[in-house]
Amino acid sequence: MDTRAKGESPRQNSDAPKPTSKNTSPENDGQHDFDFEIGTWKTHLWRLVDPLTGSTKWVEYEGTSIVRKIWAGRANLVELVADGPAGHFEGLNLRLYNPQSRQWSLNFAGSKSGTLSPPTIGEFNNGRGEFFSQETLNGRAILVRFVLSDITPDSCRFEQAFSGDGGKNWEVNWIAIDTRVKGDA
Amino acid sequence: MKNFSVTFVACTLVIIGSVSRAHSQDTPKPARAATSRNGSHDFDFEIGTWKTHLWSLRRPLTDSTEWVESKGIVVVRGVWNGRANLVELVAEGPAGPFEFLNLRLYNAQTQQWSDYFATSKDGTFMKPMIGEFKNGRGEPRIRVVSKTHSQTMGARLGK
Repeated sequence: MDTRAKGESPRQNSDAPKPTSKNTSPENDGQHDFDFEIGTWKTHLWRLVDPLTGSTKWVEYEGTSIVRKIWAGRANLVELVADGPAGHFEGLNLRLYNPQSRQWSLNFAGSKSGTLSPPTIGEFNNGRGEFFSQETLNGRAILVRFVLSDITPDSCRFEQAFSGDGGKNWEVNWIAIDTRVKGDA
Repeated sequence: MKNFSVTFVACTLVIIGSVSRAHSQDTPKPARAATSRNGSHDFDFEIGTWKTHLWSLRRPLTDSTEWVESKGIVVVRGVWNGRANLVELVAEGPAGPFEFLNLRLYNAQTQQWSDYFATSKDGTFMKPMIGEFKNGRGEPRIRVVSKTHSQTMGARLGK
């Protein structure tokens, strides 16, 4: 696990605003960190079918992500629709900015479940967003890490990894490369 | 329009109250499969932009009858051809502007909707309210309001 994740308290006392070393001026407090993503993107997606089982079976999808601004950017909604040999996939992610902690929570739902997963929470540093959560997989507690990286005006990369050993080892199970659809505002 | 506004107030009140569920019943009850109707288009009527006139009881369950009035704009967008939708509210009350959102997700197995509520002030979702439409009326199955959370509602409405 990286140093940021180690520094996070497992007690989940997220109610208390945490001190942060980030520049806290209004223009650099993190609330515009997702602005770059607003618009329409072509999404190339790879998904590990059975995470943390030793399986290396991946499935591939091609689709479209539409990212819409909410409340002038302090929240946003990603709508993903994709297809591949493994079938049709629909997901959404609603990101909320917490002005107290200056962190983002990423809330994912697939169209089948009708429920939001526990949020991954984190922030951007040096152009890279890292977000973490604790969830359960097949009844076991795992850690989840979601990374947004390689951000350019017209492309970015998303990577999700699980850890079944408290963060010592991570297995990537989701990779998405987004390419902006030209002509989209 | 007025009907919509009143519904929105009711929803808001219940959503706030639903937080208290965390202390008493963390596990959502298995939804009944008995309802044999496809409700995936039940929110279609709401897609679009609405002017909203909002009244909220400032301190619910305290015998107070002090209501607070706000006005604003609600934009409702469909997601996945209607099986989810996003409500974005921007309004102004006596204490200034405030912003809410609701994300509604349809569960095809239970044929129920879950409704997640957040404010821009908190940046965190509350526990969802879950329910369905019957005879043109949408009702949550969970209606628990604790004094503690009722008291916080004033703050959530920008007061």
